Amino acid sequence: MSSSSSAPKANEESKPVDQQKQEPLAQLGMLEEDDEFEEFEVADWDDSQTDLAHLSGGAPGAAKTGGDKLWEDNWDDDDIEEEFSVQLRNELAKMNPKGGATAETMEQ
Amino acid sequence: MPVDFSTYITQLNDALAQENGAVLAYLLRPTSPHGKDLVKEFRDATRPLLNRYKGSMVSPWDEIAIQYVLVCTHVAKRRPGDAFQEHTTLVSQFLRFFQENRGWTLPALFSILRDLRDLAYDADFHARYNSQKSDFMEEAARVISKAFTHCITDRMSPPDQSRKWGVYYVAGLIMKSYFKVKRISLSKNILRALQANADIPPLSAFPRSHQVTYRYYIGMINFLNEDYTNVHYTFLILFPPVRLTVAFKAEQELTLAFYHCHVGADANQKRILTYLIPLRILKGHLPAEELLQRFPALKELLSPFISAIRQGDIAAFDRTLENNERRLVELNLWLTLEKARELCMRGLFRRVWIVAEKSTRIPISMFHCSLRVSGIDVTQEEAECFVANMIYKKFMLGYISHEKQMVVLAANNAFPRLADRQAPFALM
Repeated sequence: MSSSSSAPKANEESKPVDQQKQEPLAQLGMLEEDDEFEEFEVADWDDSQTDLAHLSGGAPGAAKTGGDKLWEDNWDDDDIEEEFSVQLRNELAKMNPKGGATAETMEQ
Repeated sequence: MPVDFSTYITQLNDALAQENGAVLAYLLRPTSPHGKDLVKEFRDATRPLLNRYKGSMVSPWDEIAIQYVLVCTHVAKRRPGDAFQEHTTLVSQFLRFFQENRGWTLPALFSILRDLRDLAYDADFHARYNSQKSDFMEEAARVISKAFTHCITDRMSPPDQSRKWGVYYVAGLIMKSYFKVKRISLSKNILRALQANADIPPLSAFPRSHQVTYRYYIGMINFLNEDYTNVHYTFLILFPPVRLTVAFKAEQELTLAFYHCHVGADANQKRILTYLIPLRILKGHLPAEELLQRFPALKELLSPFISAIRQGDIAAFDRTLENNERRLVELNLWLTLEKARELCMRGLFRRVWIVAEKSTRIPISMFHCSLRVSGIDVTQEEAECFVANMIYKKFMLGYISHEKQMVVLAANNAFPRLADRQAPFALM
C-alpha cells in the first residue's frame, strides 16, 4: 500500500502522524457523506482524554441541569423584545386592539 | 541492512516463539520496510518461483511468508486487485493458525484484516476507474466475518487470553466495510451472534477504541433504520413504539460513543456529533455554544436550525432546510431535521402565549396570525389542525373549543420544557 498511496484511503491509516498534522484545515471545511469513521491511533485511553472529563458528576448527555454543560435543556426564553416577537406582537395588536380577545369577537 | 527472505523467516519464527502479536503484525504489514526489500530480492515474484520455499517454516507459516511476498510485489507493481486476492489467501492461512491459538495473536489479526479492507478499497477504486466489476469490499467483509467466527467461538482459551477479546473490533471492521458499499443490512448476522453469546465480556471491558467504533456503527444502523421505517407508514401507525426504540437506541449509542471517544480524534467526534446533535435536538437538548465552537463544520450546518428553534422562526427554519436540502439528503440528515420543524412551531406558539401574557384562553385566530407573520399562508382550519397536533403531541397542554374557536391552555406548565417530554421520539 505504500506505493498505492495515491488512493485516498490508504493514506489515512498508514501514515497517521504526517496526515494528522494537516487535519485541522480539512476539519474547518466540509462534512462529507463519504467520510469514514477513522481507525484510532491508539487502542485505549482513560477518562481524562475524553469528554467524560468535563462532566461534573452528571451522566453523559444529561444536559446542563444534569451537570453536563455541553447541552442546554433549559432554553425557553420569555424575552420578546427581539424583532420577530415585536413584529408578531404588533400584528396581533392590530387584530385585537384591546389585547385580550374574547370568544365573541372571534365568532364574527 | 535489507531484510532477505531467510532473515524474514527467522524474524517470523522469533515472533511466534515469543508469542509477540505486535511484532507479528508488523512483519505481515505490506507497508513495513522489509516488504520493499523482499520485492527487490525476488524481482517480479511468482508463485511457482516461491514454491520452493514451502517447508521452510512450520505450516501454515511457510505459505503465509510466500503470500506476503506476493502481496508486497502486487502492491509495488500497482496491481491492487491481485494484491487483494493474494492477501485474502494470506488471511485464510493465518486463520488456520489463529483458530488454534489464543488472544496474543489478536494484534496480528487486526492488522491483516485492516490491510485486507484497505486493499479492497484500493482494488474497488482501481476497478471502478477502469470500468470493471468492483465487489472487493463485499468480499473483504465476508472474509472478515470468518475471522469474527473464529474469535467468538473460542471455548478453549482462559478468559483473559480469549480470542473473544477480538469480537468488537472485528465487528466494527465488518460494519465499516458494509457501510462503504451501502449493504448495511448484511451486518445483521454478526450482531445477532454477538447478542446470542452470553459469555462475551461486557463491552465496557474492551479497549475504548473498540467500544467507540462499535457503538458508532450500532448508533448509525439504528439511525438509518429509523429513516427507513418512515417508508412503512402503516406499520408505524400500528406500532409506533418501533420508531421510539430505534431512535432511542441510536441516541443512546451515539451519546456513549461521543463521550468515550478520544478528544484528539476530532474527525471521529465530528462524525458522531453529525448524527447525535439532530437526535438530541428532537429531545429538546440543544448543543451548547461551547460544543459547536469545537466543530466549525457542524456549527455552520446546524446553528441556523438551532437559532430558528430557539426563536420559533419557522420561515428561517424552512429556508435553511430548503437551502441545504441536497447536502442534508446526502448526509442522511434531512428527515431528522425535518421532524425538528415541529419544535420550531411549538416555539412560535409559545411566543403567541407570551404575547398573550400567558393567558389560559387564546383564540385560534391568534395562532393563525402568528403563522401568517411567519410567512406560512394557511387557512384558520389548518391553523386549528396545527394547534390540535401540538396538543396531541404534548408540546402544549390544553384543549380546543372548536365552536368557540378558542384554545384553552393549562394554567400550569402550558408549554412543558421540551426536555421534560416523556418519550420524545414516540410521536415524532
